[in-house]
Amino acid sequence: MKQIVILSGKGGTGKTFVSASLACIAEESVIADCDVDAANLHLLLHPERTGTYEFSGGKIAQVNTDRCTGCGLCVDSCRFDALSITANGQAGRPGDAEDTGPVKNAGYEEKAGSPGDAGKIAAVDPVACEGCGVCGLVCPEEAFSFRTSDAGRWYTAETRFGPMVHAHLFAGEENSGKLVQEVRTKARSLGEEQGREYVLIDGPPGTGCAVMSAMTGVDLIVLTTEPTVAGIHDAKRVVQLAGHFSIPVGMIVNKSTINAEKTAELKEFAAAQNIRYFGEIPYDKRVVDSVADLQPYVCMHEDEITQRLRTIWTGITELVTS
Amino acid sequence: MPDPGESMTVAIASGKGGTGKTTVAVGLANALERDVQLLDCDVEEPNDHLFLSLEGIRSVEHSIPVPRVNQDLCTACGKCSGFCEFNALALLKDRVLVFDNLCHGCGGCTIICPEQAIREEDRPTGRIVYGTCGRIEHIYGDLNTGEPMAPPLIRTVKREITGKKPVIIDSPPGTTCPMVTAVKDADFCLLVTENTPFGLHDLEMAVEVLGDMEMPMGVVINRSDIGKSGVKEFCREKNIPILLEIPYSRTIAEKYAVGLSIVDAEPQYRRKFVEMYAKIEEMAAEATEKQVEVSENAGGAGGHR
Repeated sequence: MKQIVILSGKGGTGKTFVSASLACIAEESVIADCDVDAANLHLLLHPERTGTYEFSGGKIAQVNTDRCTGCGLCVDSCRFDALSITANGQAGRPGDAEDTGPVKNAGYEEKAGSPGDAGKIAAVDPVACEGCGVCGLVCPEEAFSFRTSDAGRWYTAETRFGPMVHAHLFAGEENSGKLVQEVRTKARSLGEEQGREYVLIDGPPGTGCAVMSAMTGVDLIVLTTEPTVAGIHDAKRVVQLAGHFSIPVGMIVNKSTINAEKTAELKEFAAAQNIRYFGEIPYDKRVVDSVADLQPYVCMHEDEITQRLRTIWTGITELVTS
Repeated sequence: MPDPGESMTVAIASGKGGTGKTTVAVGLANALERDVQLLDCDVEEPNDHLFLSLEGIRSVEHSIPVPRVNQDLCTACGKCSGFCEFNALALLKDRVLVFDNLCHGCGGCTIICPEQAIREEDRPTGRIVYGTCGRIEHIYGDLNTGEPMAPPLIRTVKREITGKKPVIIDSPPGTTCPMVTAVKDADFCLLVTENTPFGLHDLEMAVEVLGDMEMPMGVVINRSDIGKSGVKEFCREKNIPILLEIPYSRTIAEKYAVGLSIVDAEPQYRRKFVEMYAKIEEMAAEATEKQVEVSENAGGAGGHR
């Protein structure tokens, strides 16, 4: 089974449009949406859910308000600015004050300076807290406990093109790389059970944690980019990252007609870097319309763009099986 | 508390990538024609600088502290590896191994080690780049290739906020940790979306996270005449103002392709951005007043609960 990931660096270059169309053309893949921050592929593939799984994230500190004496040792030790000493008024709801904008609130608290604020108390900003546990380590009153956050869900599903695994990381959560791993592991095992030939991975934008999780151990990165300065800049970063992991890269230039010179520049870059150039797709409003109609493009049109996508898929399969 | 108009921080965010955050952030910074700080916190893919002719560029390395174990002092007791939440320390039979890439730099291992065998060393994870373009002071984070952790660098970029002039923050896409780190503490968040099902789906998530943060927000619909997905209906339902619509323009797309700002491509956007900024100032001020009321009420109640 070969694993192929669609990446772009820059967002909005057309990863999901390409992924959905390739899933439709391939017919024998298992599909993994690894853009767990902003998953969209399910909107085009209409999966029927077969399973829902919980994803727990990192730990988050909690203050036992009865024990905290407001000494501030934890605040000094926290490297993530996740702790502050708040006035009594906020003490019943640790964290809330920070959530809504600590700078302003802190200012008001001082001004408000309620007379009976002898009981100053530590409050945790759950967004900033990384769950490292240092506050618990330094607290002389053992006033900290740690809860595990319910960080997301991942799903197994069936589509008309094959099984699919997708996920949703809850707002503000971290560990997207770990969730990507879960999605990929499940996709692989489903693919093996059902004798699929390819795992087709719709990747996240960027070059960080989630992208690295999405690319480790794959057979090919299909870099879907666009002929703009930002598209090129970010595509180069992905290629650099792929070099780090020694993963072969192929390129698709989407919206190629926006700027012929930049398209040529990308093509030259590919040649210089020994990157297989799978082809280009012209800018066409019908591509956007196909997304609005919630369908993979190739299922709606039998035209030049569909033909190009078929040629691209042939190129991809040739490269990964050679 | 300074006048919010003087030092207001506006974060530009979106759930979905590629909706036009950079276009709006750079366009707004240009259009204001006043001293402004433009911070690019999309440290995995900083792009604002591609649209600015920066002068006086300099950069500073950004590092996070990672542990170094003195094997002569280490007794392999396993307290540090047991404490580390991120599995950055592994206990072997007679020594401790450090995985730099997994370390979040919390410093817990140095505190817990009974032999004081662990000290910290700075490990570079990226750089902060400074430059100016006219009245724009631009600062961006550039995360090293292969570096997984964006938030520490984002936090460092944000420490450059002086509070003396308005700040525009270009945030990373998504709605998880990096995006929240970037928009946190802003006075207002501008969500850039597009009128497609992807745009709407991801906008809904972004609105949810900003709602949790009780942050005032507004929406810019980019390529507003393309697609049909009910972004406007959603905004109406949630009572979120649509502050600007940018119809698809071949000129803007072509100028963007070669690194020119929207206000250079179509100068009428200068006025539109200035008008939008005035509205944002009003809304941010209203939100601040509300918070003062809440704060006063809470104070009057003498600490509820």
